[in-house]
Amino acid sequence: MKTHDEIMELMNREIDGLNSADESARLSEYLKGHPDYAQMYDELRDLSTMLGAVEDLTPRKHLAARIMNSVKELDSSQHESRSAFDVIRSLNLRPAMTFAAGLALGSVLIMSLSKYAGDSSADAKHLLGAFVDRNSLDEMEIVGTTSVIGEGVDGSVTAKRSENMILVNVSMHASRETTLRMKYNANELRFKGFVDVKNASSTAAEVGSAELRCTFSGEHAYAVIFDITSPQTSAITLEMLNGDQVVLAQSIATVLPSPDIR
Amino acid sequence: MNEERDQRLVDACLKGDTKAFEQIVLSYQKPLYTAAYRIVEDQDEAEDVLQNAFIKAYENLGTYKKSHKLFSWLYRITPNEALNTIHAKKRFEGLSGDYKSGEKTGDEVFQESELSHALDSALRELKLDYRLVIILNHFHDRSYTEMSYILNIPVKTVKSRLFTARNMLRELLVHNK
Repeated sequence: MKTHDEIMELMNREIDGLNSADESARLSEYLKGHPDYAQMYDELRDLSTMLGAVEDLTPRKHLAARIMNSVKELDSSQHESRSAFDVIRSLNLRPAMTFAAGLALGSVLIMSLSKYAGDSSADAKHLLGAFVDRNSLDEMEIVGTTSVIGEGVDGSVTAKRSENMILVNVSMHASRETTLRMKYNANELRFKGFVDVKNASSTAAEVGSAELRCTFSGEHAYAVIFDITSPQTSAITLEMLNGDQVVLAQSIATVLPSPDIR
Repeated sequence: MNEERDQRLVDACLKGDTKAFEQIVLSYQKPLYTAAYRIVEDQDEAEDVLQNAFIKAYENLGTYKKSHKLFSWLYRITPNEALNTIHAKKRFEGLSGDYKSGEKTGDEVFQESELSHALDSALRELKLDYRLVIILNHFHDRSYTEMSYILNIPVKTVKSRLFTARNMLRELLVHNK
């Protein structure tokens, strides 16, 4: 005679397709003579069907980019750390001095990494995006919006602002390869990060001194984040380039107009 | 989720190819996000969990053993990160474990599960240990052995929890009709 636990095991294994033919036959025979267990089995099977029909949830598009940004920041910090220690080792210092030098360099590294990505170097750099936390996004209000139409480009740009950050959302379609150059006042804004929203993958943006370039064709959407470093902020200039030639120029406000202006 | 392909991607990652890791992220973010969301029940926190889990995976990729599927190895990290998030939140906010989904803003796109309301409620009533085995087995087709590896518990315990969880869900759904 089968125990309750034995029957439950058989029923669950049946649902999981793990019973042998003999076990399935024994279960079937048992259920015929025990309607209460038969009902339980039917309910379990229905439950399994219901659960099996549930689809995976889809995360928001920026998640993969956010993850890869963190991976690349991790890589950069590890690379800099290794480079620093290679330099120390090459000096052939005594162990205690090596340790002290490493500690000093490590402190400098930690201090530099605590700043946001990007510096004001005149050299163009390939930088990847930075994550903007939920609270910062929720605090933002739209301060400027403009359409960009012409020269094979059709899209819109919106600027949002919180107390400490400006977020520029770009949504474009380009019929041919086009470069968007964003120029800003480096005394007022500091580049923080770039996120390729449309492709849900990391895309490099070239960041130079007071400007950022992104080259694309087709549908594209991305966001650029700036830290605000000055009480007053000027408009950001957007230029469409065909090669080195500026074919379209717009500007987008970074602050709401004063209510006193008529 | 091809095992050969996964192994090629892991080998490439270990040689410094971050694009290969991106392929892993894109392949597995959906099921892992589902698992994370079903545990923390908040969109933003689930994303945080997933970010932390993938970073941890990236940092420890050298410890991945080919004897297990990459997906199972990644899956092993996710529930722990989710539980860390819950415990951290409880320390600060004293919640009893009833989490609500985050508010959706106008420019967010979030695809809702087609889980019926009754099943969703019943699932939420399960304790985490039982909810996890249901997610792993029914949502992601993990075998008892894989679940044992992912949850770091004996197969016998996996089966016991799974059978009990199913029965609990069944009872909840039958009595709530």
